[in-house]
Amino acid sequence: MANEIQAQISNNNNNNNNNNNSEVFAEAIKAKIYGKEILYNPESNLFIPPDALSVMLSAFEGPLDLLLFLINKQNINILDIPMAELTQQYLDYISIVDAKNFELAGEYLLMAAMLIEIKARMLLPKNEENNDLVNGENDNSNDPRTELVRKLLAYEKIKLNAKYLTLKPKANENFYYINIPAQQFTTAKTNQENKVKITIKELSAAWQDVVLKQKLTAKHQITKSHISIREYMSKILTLLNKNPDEQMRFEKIFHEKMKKIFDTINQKYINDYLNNKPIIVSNFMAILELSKEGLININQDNSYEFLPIYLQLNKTK
Amino acid sequence: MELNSNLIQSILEAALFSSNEPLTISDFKKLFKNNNDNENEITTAIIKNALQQIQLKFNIANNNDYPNAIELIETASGWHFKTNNFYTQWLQNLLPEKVAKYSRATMETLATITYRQPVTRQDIENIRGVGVSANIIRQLIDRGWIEVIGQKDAPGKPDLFATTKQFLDDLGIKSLSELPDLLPEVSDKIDNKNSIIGNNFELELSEKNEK
Repeated sequence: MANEIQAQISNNNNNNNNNNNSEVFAEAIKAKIYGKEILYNPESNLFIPPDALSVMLSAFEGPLDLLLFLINKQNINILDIPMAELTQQYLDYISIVDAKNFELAGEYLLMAAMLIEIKARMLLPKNEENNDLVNGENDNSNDPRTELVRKLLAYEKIKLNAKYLTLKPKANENFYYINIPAQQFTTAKTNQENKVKITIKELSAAWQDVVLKQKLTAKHQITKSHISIREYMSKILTLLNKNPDEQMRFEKIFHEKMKKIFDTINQKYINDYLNNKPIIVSNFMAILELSKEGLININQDNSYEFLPIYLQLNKTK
Repeated sequence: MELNSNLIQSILEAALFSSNEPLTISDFKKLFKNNNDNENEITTAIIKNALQQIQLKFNIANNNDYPNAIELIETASGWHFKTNNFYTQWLQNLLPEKVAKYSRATMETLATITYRQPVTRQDIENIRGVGVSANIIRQLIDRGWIEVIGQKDAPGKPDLFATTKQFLDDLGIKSLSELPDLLPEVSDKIDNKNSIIGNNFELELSEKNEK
């Protein structure tokens, strides 16, 4: 599997650099000087269509991305970058974007400064001793380009890995796990005598838990849903009626698995059911309303704080 | 009743099918809690063997034309069945989960966290060379793929991010080591001498993990 994805990424990389970035650039650059294709020449009145520029801007994730593109496109040896050339091209790009008054992120300017500094340092006379071969290999520690190349390679790796993660099959997108919904009901294990009426404090605490859970998985919802408390009251009663002698845990009303049970609610917002605050609140109010009308009991064993709270049909009516 | 390997295998299958959560080895061991025969204790090895048998049964294609409908895998949370990827094209008509499209920036951020964790937001920005928007972080947290696992002992006590167990489950893997660490291909034009230098850079990468 890893090999397949790796092969796909190699193909994509060869295509992507051509499709996303190169094609766009190719459209914009039509000039060749002395047989050598140049990126831009601001001075030579080349008309770059505004569309091309805005696409170019969004084609890159940042200065490192742009640099990698420039390097790959011209088959520059990343381990021996011609700094003057690369810096000039990069600066040409920046100036074009600037000239068209597109907003340039600060990172691009920072990178421009860094490139210029590296180029300048390369012009300084090299220290003779440090240039000796160490163990038969070139000593790179004083090469001003080292840090930049390290960053470029690290970022290129990240790009590849990001691609891999994008392509890797994921649960609920490319495959599904088999999950059997949990038992909704527990048979009443305790006698009625041991049950106590729960206090508002305990119910409130249980409610807080539910809201907290939903907050952590909140999705952004745009559509307006039509809420009817009566509707939810009926649903809950229907549910409890399925097993009239048993009691159901309070949290289960808000549980993921309840999706299936409430499937007669408008299909349109069933997917947002549990991450939709108004719906959760309405469910809770439905529970309170049912209790107020004496249609259900809310029970807890012995009123110890962390024991679960149960809902049960009120048989004494 | 004697627990031969076939019976054990069937018991595990029944447990896997009736469970609403992935099962771990210790979960499987609980199935045999009532086994009074102390001589034939159900060991981890026995269970693992049975699981492999189940995998052979389900994962290897019986029908030569198409893969089997479900297969058994072990992810970070344990053992569970999953549908074969081949059938998603039909299943998605019945189970319309909104497939989130993640931007390149989001996936690059995720990749950075995955391969360099634990990292702070500043670390991510240094590696990617651009700022990381709070929205991306929030999106990844909401998705359940990353979490804050502590603070770095540095000015501002910035949060440290790492990937979650759910991240592994969603990718269908057991541990991060199953993710390949892809290296950029070194161009053909680079000669041998330079490729030695290339190796040096890789060493520098691993040494300079924290800047």
